[in-house]
Amino acid sequence: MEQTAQSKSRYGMVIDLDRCTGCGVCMVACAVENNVAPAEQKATERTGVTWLRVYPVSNGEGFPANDTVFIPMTCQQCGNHTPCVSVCPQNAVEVDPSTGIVGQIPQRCLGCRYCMTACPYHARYFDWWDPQWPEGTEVLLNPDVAPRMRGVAEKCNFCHGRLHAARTKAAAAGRKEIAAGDYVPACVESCPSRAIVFGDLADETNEVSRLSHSINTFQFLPKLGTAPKIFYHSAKEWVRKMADRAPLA
Amino acid sequence: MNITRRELLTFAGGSILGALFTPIPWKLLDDSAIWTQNWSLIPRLPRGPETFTFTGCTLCPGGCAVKARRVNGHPVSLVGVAGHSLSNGILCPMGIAGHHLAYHPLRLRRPFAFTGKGADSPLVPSTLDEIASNLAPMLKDIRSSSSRGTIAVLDQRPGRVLSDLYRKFVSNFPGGIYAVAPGSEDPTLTTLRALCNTTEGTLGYDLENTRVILSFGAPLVDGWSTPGRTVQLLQNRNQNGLKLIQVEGVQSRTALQADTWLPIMPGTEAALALAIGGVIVRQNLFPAKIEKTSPDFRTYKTLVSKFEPEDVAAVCGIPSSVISETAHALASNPSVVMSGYDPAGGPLDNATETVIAGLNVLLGNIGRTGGISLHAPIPSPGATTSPAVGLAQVPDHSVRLLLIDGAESGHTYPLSLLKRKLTADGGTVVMLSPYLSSRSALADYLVPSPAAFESLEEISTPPGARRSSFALSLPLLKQPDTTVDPATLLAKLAGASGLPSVGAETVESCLRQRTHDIWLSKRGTLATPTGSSQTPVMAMASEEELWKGLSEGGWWVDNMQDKQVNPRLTLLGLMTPDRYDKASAPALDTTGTLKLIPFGWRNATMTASVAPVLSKLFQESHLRSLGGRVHINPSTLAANALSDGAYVKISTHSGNMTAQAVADPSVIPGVIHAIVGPSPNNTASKDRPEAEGILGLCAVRDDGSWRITEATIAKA
Amino acid sequence: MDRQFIPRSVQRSSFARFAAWILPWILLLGLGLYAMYLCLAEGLNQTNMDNRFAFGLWIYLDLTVIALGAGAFFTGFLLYILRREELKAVINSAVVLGLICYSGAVAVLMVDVGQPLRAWFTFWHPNTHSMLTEVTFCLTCYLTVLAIEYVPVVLKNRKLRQIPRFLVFEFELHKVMPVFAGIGTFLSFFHQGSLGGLYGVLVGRPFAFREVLGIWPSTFYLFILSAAAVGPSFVLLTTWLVQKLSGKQLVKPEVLRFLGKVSGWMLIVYVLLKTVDTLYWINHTAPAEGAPAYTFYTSPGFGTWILFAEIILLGLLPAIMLLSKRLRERPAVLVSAAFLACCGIVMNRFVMTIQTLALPTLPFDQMMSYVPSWQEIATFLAIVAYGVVLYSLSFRYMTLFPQERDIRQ
Repeated sequence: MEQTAQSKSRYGMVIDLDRCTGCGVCMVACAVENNVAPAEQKATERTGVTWLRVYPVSNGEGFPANDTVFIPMTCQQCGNHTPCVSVCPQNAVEVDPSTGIVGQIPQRCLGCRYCMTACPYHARYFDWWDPQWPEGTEVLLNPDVAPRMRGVAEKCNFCHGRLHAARTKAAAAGRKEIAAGDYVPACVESCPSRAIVFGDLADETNEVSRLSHSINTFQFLPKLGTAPKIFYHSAKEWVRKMADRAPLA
Repeated sequence: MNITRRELLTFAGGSILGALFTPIPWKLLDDSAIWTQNWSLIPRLPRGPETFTFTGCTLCPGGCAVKARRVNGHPVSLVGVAGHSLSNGILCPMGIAGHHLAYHPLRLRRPFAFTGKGADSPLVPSTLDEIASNLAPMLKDIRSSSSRGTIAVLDQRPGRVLSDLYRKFVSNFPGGIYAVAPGSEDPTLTTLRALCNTTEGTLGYDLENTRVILSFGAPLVDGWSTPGRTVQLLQNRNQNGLKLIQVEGVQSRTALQADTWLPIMPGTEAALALAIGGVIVRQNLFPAKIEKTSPDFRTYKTLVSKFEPEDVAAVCGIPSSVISETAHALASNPSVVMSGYDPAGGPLDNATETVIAGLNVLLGNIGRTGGISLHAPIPSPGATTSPAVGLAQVPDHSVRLLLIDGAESGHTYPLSLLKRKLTADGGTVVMLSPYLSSRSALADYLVPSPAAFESLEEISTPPGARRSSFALSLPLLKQPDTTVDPATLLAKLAGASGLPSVGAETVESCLRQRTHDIWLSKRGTLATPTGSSQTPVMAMASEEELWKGLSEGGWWVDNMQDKQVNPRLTLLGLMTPDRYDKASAPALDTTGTLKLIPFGWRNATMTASVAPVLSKLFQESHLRSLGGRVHINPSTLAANALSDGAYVKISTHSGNMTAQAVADPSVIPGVIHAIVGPSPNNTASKDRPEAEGILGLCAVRDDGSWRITEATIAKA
Repeated sequence: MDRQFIPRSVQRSSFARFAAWILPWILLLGLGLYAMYLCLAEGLNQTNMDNRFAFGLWIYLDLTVIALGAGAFFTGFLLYILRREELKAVINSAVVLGLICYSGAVAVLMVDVGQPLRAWFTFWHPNTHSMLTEVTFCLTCYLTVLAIEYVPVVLKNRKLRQIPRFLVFEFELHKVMPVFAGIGTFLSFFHQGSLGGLYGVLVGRPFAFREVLGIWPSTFYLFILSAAAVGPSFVLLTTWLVQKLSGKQLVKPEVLRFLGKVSGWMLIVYVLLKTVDTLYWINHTAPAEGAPAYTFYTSPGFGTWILFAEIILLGLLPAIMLLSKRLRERPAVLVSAAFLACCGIVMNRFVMTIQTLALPTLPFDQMMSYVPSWQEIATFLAIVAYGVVLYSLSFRYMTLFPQERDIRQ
């Protein structure tokens, strides 16, 4: 698809951690939307595939001073020195210059997992098993997203199927740009607390762009210089301090 | 011709070298790579026309509106319906994958009979006719005399047309019982109905106008009634000024979202409620009329005088100043006080529920804006049928034949609660269910009912709703021929009992009947699914127009004026003051006897009740704990010389079991917070009922509650 | 029975004894091949690797054997380019060792990747920015070079020499061997370096990330140096081991001493630069990435002792032992020093692979742990067994140590 220079978007998210209740709808909606298979019997939290994972994080205090925050962690769509892109030996990871979205091409991936060691956010997942749905469920799969075979890496791509559908819709209507409401990833759409705001960060009139600059908004691991496009927001000081702390410090 | 070995080798070598210059190896290389992209283990994607259907979720009584995206007629994704007035476009994690449930590996695909009782007895395939003919002598016997026990139907989702059908059916038998399962109704509202001494109308919370909610463990953001209702109210707190005070011994997801969390020692909720009541009474914070209208006001006043906040503070761990502040907050704002029915822990004990519900009476919340309303139930013909009784009120050993309906409340309960109602010989249990679950262990006959989104079903008023409502859940999937419509089963059993027809023979005809009743009442309005337009029933040309609107995913909501509440409200109902211990501080025990409290998540208390893809939450991440794990405060673990992740043996009077301990600082010390949930790793459950697990260790009290059981832990 | 294949004027054990030695290794190889089959047929769920420990035992040992296999290129470089003729005594053995190490590593890599049938995509859609592309290219090419270098060793076999064409081919090949040695050295430099670069470029892993010098991170150069330093030590160590096992003296003692000296010089340069690199990383690179270096060593399993062990105990100490003429002359010291140097590289590759992955990157994460499955261990043991079998066969039927027949046994 040819992109004109002015159609350069930078899709990103601002996730309000104070609103997140940790219910997990986003994770399930993501798996259903992107044809991520249910866990194999032996799979664990370290071998499962969750493009979006909500981590419960405690402030480390005892009862009742304990506090927990739920951190939805997805591919951070790094905008600078994208760690996974440069390491892939066969160009199976690409940043779409027109959207800023880091895309994974599972059909080209040889499963070396170098990208997974490169990703500091642990947002990449390997298919340790063949994807298996219970018998009969194949008809319930999303026709817009190709299921991945075993032995490849996969990750969040901001619901590429939905972006494609929005582009098709725009093209059908003779528009060059997609309408903001037409492109909403499954996690954003399903969040009961409306904790995730999604949109084009490059568009300064946009809510997501405004929120990304607002007070108490932060990124994880900003010092790595990877310029993630997922922003987090919390009015709780301990949450922001935690995000700024070195691990094991 | 003579070929030497050397010539042969040269030829072979040359061939190999030559082949490299042909397309063959490269083509093979290419084909093998293409094969890795298409091999048979990767499922084929559906292709076909895309359509959208509006329907409703029937996994629990919450009844959320659903917009289904369908490809080639099959649902491929479900989302909430934005603009829907009751569910606000929100679905829970179980609902969003609800269309996968029909293909659950534990799905029952035909009727079964058990050859014996218990989890280990094998399943024998059977047929509906065979089951009916096997039961016929017993049914006829019960009809002639109830001396050897009677028939009971257990409804886990009362209020449906089907519920009326069940009531009608059992009324044909002497002593026939229509029982509702624990968790199928809001416990505070059930208790209030008794305090109000009325069976007329339906009670509901006017949360939209409430300013303070005092919740004793109600999971308001985590599976309470229609999630879209409370989640949105709480998220909009800076606009609507709502305050949530959560009383809970564990920092649950609701406690985390609350404005104030009162970390209470479980079991002392009654003392706290009475202490709050005491502050209100002593400081005259209640409406003056209550003193006159409540016949037991004096008794209550004497009772609460024994619960000074200072004493109670020592018992329940909430500072007296906080108790006093809470009382003031409740009295100076439109408020409601509610208790929580834990999806696995069940209700609090009756005495506690009574004083919690009684606070609403004391505050004058009944019939007040922002309080608790009494509204008209869904129009129904109102035929003489058996009254509904709570399962706990069914006399022990009185049920010879038990029929359990397949619709779930999303909550669970210990099997022993059911078992003790059956006659001494164990009785006979006929269970409708789409799945094989831990509950199946109790069944003699398993009848497969349709799974979610597989058949036409009804969505009636959610528990705690402000107004009556009604909608249809339209099927998205083809119902397998082997599943049995509950109404058809009832008709078969009626036939086997020698009864004339009990009415409708399919659920669809039941729903037609209800539509007819609504049409006749001329009440309420029908909204399109997205709320784009609303049509009063009165303005509709025909009954068919109402049915058509409902069949397109429309939602009927009543518009009747609230009913007048009987002013003679009691504060304690049938509870006597001696049921409440004087506030005295029990020593906090963290090494000897601990409090075992089961905890569940609505619609996720059994492996069979969640779609396999929910493994993302339970198995592939730490977001939700797997069933069978026990969360214990690190200090309590340490006091018992245990560590995080250790396997512990939990012993109660009912037995013992081994579970994995999780050190969790959000749980109050001295408590075993036991997770009742799905365990996708449990391979044994594929061909026999899942073990009951922690609920099997719980002691069921006479009032039917099992929230707290004394238990000890040791290294397994 | 196999007399006619055994080189003239050397003494080899009876076939029965040889078979008894080789059989257990073949059985082990069989077990490993079964484990490999499981991994290929069932998928990598047969391993204990996971999304967090995406690299495990295999990558770690691949890196280690490739570093040890560097003896082949460095000996070739010294012999053919720098004309250190005394190394003729070990060059054949070094080539066989190199071939074993490299082919074994590539075999394990083919099991390690999730889709081995797509491995050639790297040649088709190469990402020139990826260190792994560099590794893949150089590794494949160098493996070819090693195979070519191995051919003359095979062709020198007594039986094969009887074919005149082979003899001519071998003679011609020998003339161009310096060219291959040069290519091999060049390729080796790159892939040894790229293997180091593999970790040095990981901007998301403050423990592994290093500053860029020129176009590569510092680990690129350190890996070349450390491999070149330890390669000769490994040749020395294996030669000594083969001498012990066969009960024969195969090379003159000065050859081993020379290898030790080379190793020592390289090692001291490496230790020096590694120290500079580590100090710069502790004081600048890691803190700039938001991770103070002390946080890498808070876990008891991975304390600061690792730094001491890797740089001083297994770096500086063997270097001094190898550089001192007096110490080097004592065979026990020479062999111990070579052994320590080899341990140093085993340790370094462990730290770079395993500690890098064990350390959390997200602020709320904990240390990760990982224990390889039997399939992983068996697969690796298969490579060891394959190496022993191939080396034993080469030792028995080919001339790995030309000095053997000159030395009076």
